[in-house]
Amino acid sequence: MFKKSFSTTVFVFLLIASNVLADKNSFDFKNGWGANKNGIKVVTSFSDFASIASYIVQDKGYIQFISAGKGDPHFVPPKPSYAMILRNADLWITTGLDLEVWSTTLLDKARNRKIMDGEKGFVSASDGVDLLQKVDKADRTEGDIHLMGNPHIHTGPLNWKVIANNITIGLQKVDPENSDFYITNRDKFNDMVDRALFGDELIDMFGAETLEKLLKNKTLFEFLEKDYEGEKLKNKLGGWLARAMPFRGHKVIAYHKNWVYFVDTYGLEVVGFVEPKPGIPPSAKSVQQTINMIKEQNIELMLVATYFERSTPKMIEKRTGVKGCYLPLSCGAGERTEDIFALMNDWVETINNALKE
Amino acid sequence: MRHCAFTILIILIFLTFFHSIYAVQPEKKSLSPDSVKNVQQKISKVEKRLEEIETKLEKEEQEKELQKLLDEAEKLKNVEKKKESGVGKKFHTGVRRQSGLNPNISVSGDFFGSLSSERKPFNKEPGEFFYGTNGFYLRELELSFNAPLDPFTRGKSFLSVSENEIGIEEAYVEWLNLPVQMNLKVGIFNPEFGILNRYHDHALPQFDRPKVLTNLFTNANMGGTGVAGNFLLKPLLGADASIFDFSTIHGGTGQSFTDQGELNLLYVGNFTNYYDLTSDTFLEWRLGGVAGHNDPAEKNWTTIGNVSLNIKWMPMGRSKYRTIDWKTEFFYSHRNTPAGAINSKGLYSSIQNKLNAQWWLTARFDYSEMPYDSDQYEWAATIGADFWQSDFVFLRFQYQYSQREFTDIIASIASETYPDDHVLTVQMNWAMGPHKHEAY
Repeated sequence: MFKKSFSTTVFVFLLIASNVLADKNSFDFKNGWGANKNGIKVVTSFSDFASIASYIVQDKGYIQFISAGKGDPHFVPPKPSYAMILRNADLWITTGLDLEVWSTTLLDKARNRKIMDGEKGFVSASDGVDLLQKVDKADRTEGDIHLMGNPHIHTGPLNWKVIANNITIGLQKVDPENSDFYITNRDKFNDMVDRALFGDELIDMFGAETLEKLLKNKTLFEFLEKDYEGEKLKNKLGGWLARAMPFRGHKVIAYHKNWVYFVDTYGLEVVGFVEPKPGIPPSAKSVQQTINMIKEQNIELMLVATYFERSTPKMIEKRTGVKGCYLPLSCGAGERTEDIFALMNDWVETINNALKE
Repeated sequence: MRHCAFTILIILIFLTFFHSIYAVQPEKKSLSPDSVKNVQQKISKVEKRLEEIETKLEKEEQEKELQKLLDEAEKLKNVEKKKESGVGKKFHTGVRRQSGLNPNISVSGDFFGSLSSERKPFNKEPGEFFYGTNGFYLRELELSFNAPLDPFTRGKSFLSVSENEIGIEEAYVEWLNLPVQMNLKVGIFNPEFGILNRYHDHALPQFDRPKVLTNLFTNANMGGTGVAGNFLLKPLLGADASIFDFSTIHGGTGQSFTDQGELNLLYVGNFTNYYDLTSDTFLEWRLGGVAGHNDPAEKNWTTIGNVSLNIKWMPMGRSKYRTIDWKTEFFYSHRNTPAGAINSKGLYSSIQNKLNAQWWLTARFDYSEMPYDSDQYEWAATIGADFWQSDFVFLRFQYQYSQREFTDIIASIASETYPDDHVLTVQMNWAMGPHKHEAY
């Protein structure tokens, strides 16, 4: 008697639960960029790539992304609905390193030969990026390592131009008729990046290529100490680099190795991490070591991607006085981060505000 | 400097010019207004010219300065980025890194220690229905090899090594992107049937398989050698994804299906409908069925139906620390025998609650009637806590109470029913290499 009534109750409950929960809401990840749903269908792994692609594709297509920015980019569940998005894609844009381990499962499920690795609809966004933190000791004693180098390439604005170029190549392959349109838009985007980074005055004086090379080889700020028209050239620096001057040269702590390209661009020095090793949650002992390090080296800033827990960083803040900067890692992960430029503005502004507090 | 000198020169010329004007005047007399105006115009012209020359000189000077800076920038541009060196530098050999062309190889280990309140020998040693108690055991050492074979196919192999045997858990080739939205699998594999049938032991939500699965298929998965088609359908019934799987395998473990027939063929179908309820939550229901012979003569059929439901909440941005996963499966078995049909049913309901980055709490309820006699049954309640040291090592602590109202017709321990028991299990699971369970 017991067993029959119990089975019946459970079965009825399951039926009711499935009906109640079937009342659906809308999903963020389905709301892509681009006005032309009949044009080229572009799908990106992350919202940041989608934002860059939107400047190039414009009204020639429609862009969707898989990871909506709020979550941990290392762990995205390969849901069947994501495979459905990829099923009709003309172009699939992914970092191309070992960050999106989950993406191969999706690709295998999507039944879309056009976007498989090596096909014309597959774009590796990182191709040509000067990768940092390439692993020279490949074993798990270093935690959850990325063998090919740090894959969080969108945190460096100069990398956006490389990403844009790779996306343009992909678009030219799948939509050759609009090749000139994409190239023009890429060039406009690259100019926007340069001017947003260096400011108009220096770009007009020296050109983007020269400034980019100086920034990459770490001689830009030496060069900007030169006099011109009776004043230092650095007074002509604009854009994010000028706005980042208040924190340039500061030592910082980061929660995870998310920010390597950002700190490389803006001259911060990461002296330690909240995670004892990448992917390993902080222990009481490792947190104490971090606290000691902050006190000993008088560190003022701590960079934390918003997808990490806050209790440990908050506790470190309280015990050391270090200023925690909780930064959305990707577009759409916070207010005023709907676009890749807005995201960079937000990072620079948040860090400056933290220093002012 | 040159600029100043030139300006002084111009002023001297200007003064000389004026001097000459005055010099040619023989005697002092008043100037006419026209003469004054004329002189003023000349002065104005000279001043204007002087300004033009100054502007030009300044521009030339600026251009020279800018060119000088550009030259310096050009020199700096070509400076190689300084490479960091010093006592922090680590030295490594490249000799150990020749594995670029190998398949992805992973090894996972699954050890456990278990203590039962019941000291009768029925569940002491690991077997088809019990994992072993009152001792320490290596449940499995799993070796996995995974690689694309060519642009069209993937190869996956999983070897299972335990203290007593080495077996092939799965070894198959899968063709992708075939016509009619099909992926085709050939080899030894566990077909899609319900939720947990494709899970390897190390990925189960609890230490053990639910009782209903063990009673229907033993504590291994229902699997075998054969062929399987996986079809991505147009979404049906308001779903976000609909999938249909059909497999034919040479299988059977001697429990629901014979392992002594000539063909031992099982026919397995599974329909999955997947819904994104919100960006944080999905629901998936499945309908499945498997049919095969249950006697060596292959005359009598067993058919097992499955209805399953999986609801998972992964709050966006916090899923690293909070997740709730509820899985429930109901099975109905119809077994034809010469003496008549035997209908039995069973279910389990499992919940996993992620408390933070490292701790999960789990619970499961089991109920299962025996496929050979629906009047005999067992039920169990299980609770556990999992500690994930990292993504590659976890410890599991589990308590299970089982109440058994059945005898074993296959390997009878006389006609007594199996005893109830309380079991404490500590499991340690580790993984080397890239293989992780690909659940969503």
